[in-house]
Amino acid sequence: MKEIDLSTKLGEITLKNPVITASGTCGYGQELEDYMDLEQLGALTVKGITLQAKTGNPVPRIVETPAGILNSIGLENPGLEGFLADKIKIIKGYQLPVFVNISGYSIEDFVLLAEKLAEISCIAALEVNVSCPNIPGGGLAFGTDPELIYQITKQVKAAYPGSVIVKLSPNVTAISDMAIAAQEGGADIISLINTLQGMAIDLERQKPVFANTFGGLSGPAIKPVALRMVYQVAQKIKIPIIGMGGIMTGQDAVEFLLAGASAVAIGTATLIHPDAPLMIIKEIKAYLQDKKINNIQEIIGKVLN
Amino acid sequence: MFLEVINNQRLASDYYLLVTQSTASAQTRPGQFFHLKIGKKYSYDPLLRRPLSVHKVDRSKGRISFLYRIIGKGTKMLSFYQAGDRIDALGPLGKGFKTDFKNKQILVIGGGMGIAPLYPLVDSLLNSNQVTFLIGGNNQQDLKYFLDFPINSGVIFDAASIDGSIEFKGTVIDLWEKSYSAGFNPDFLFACGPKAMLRRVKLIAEERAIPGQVSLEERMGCGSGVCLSCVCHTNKGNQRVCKEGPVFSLQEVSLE
Ligand SMILES: Cc1cc2nc3c(=O)[nH]c(=O)nc-3n(C[C@H](O)[C@H](O)[C@H](O)COP(=O)(O)OP(=O)(O)OC[C@H]3O[C@@H](n4cnc5c(N)ncnc54)[C@H](O)[C@@H]3O)c2cc1C
Ligand SMILES: Cc1cc2nc3c(=O)[nH]c(=O)nc-3n(C[C@H](O)[C@H](O)[C@H](O)COP(=O)(O)O)c2cc1C
Ligand code: FES
Repeated sequence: MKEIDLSTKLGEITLKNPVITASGTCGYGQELEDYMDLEQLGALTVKGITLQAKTGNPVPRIVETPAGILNSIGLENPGLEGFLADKIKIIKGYQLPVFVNISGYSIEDFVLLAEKLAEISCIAALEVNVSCPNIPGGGLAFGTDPELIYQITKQVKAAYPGSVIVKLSPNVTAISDMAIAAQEGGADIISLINTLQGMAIDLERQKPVFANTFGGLSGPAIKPVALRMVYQVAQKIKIPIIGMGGIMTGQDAVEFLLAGASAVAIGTATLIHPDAPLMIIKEIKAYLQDKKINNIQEIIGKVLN
Repeated sequence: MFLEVINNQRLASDYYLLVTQSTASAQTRPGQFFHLKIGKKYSYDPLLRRPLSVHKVDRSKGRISFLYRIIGKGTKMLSFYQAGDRIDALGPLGKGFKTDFKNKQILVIGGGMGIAPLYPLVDSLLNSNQVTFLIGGNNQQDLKYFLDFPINSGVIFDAASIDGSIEFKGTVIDLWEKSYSAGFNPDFLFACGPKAMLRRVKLIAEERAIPGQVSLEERMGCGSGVCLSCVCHTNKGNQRVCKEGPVFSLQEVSLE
């Protein structure tokens, strides 16, 4: 039997298979090496970084919900300086494409990060996380305003010569408008979805569980929403999509591919099964085999009209 | 990795002893934990794994035991497991207790469920040190299993209950204070138990300049160090309970 071609393209980037680890759920890769051969992944997205180091939110930072988790990590990260000093050397050791996720509290933050990271050749793409609040400690997320998404994308593109992924927040009424804004700003790739805003209440203390009140919902619970958004966005834009949100199995991943995603990212699943991304690659392959499909491109966007 | 259930037995009200067969017994150290996926492979509820500390390691038989208390959904479901069932587990995880002591006076102090992980520690210390093992709980019922547990005669053992249902009435800290007034002053101490107890231990240890280690619990996601759910503050910055912990230097960790 012919070897199945799992390779896929995200603009200028070619992945040997469509499975990527999602930001914040795979550290810098290192931690997962005990559980899997990272080089078998399509790509790796490292934890989001900000200009200044962040110590993150108080604990508890995680709550289990039916078929999901709420997290309130608060973007704990070593900041640009710490990243350059300690993490770049880890990334340099990898053969596979590595995406670096960036967050900011102002457009200038994003631009500064992009300028500095532009000097580093081992990064395959920047993933711009527009889900965080536009002022430290709260406020409206950049990701809910198409004009801001357009501005951030445009300015990051101007500062960064490589591929730029814009990662969209699902906490909006018209996701396609956000995707179109990113495309017009010059994004090479769109990724969606980030976590859905939610909350949990502690019955003993009669207070919100999280110090920050709200947290981000991820996992199987959000899959139908994520799938719907990928499907809607795929109908409106020309640039490739990385689909994510609740993918636990190869079957889930195939649904996203059929809905128009050119690649998928695995988040919560990796927290539970650290080798989940590799299992998912195998299951995608088995699905294609079963359907007698030799090239994964045949199913990408097949459900779109 | 799978743990095969040999026995899963109710000890008292909501306390259970889970004995498993595991290939990991040889590399498991006192203070480490396993992260258990409870329920069927593709069931999404409960979604996350559940951390349990190692309570007993029997290398010759290849067995690892856990002592757990039913808290909610996950531990309730765990209590239904029977001999022959397999549990998907990650582990051993985290860094264990420091055990390379010689000819030292060592205090091991446990409260409530925090007593469970201290047995393998006591075992590994007792040959070359003088170990004092103090435990405390709410009442005799909660402590029954621990009181019946065979302890090597070389270990000085004592227990306290808050309600006075066993002879010493008070907390395990009160018990420590009693031995202190009798002139006992350890070279090193280990503690595991509720946060409030650990705070007291830290305070007293600092007063008397006793170095030590504590084992902490925190809400976990991955257990593998990737999600940053489980951090605690130390004087080296944030550290992950699942990776750098669950055992931390008493002097370095903040328990606020
Ligand atoms: C390193 C470590 C070692 C532990 N060792 C033991 C042990 O040896 N014996 C024992 O009885 N218990 C131990 N615990 C606590 C045990 O993990 C919880 O009681 C258990 O996860 C509760 O799950 P549940 O579904 O029954 O409760 P639920 O309340 O329904 O759980 C909901 C969520 O909260 C988490 N959670 C609830 N209580 C705790 C807690 N105290 N610590 C961390 N997470 C919690 C659960 O993991 C789950 O994600 C340990 C915890 C940690 C972090
Ligand atoms: C613990 C945790 C940390 C995360 N950190 C980030 C982050 O730093 N930057 C980001 O863009 N997304 C972050 N995310 C969102 C994920 O990358 C992903 O978009 C989301 O969880 C949906 O996918 P999933 O359901 O497969 O987890 C995080 C998610 C989790 C659960
Ligand atoms: S539980 Fe994920 S880092 Fe510790």
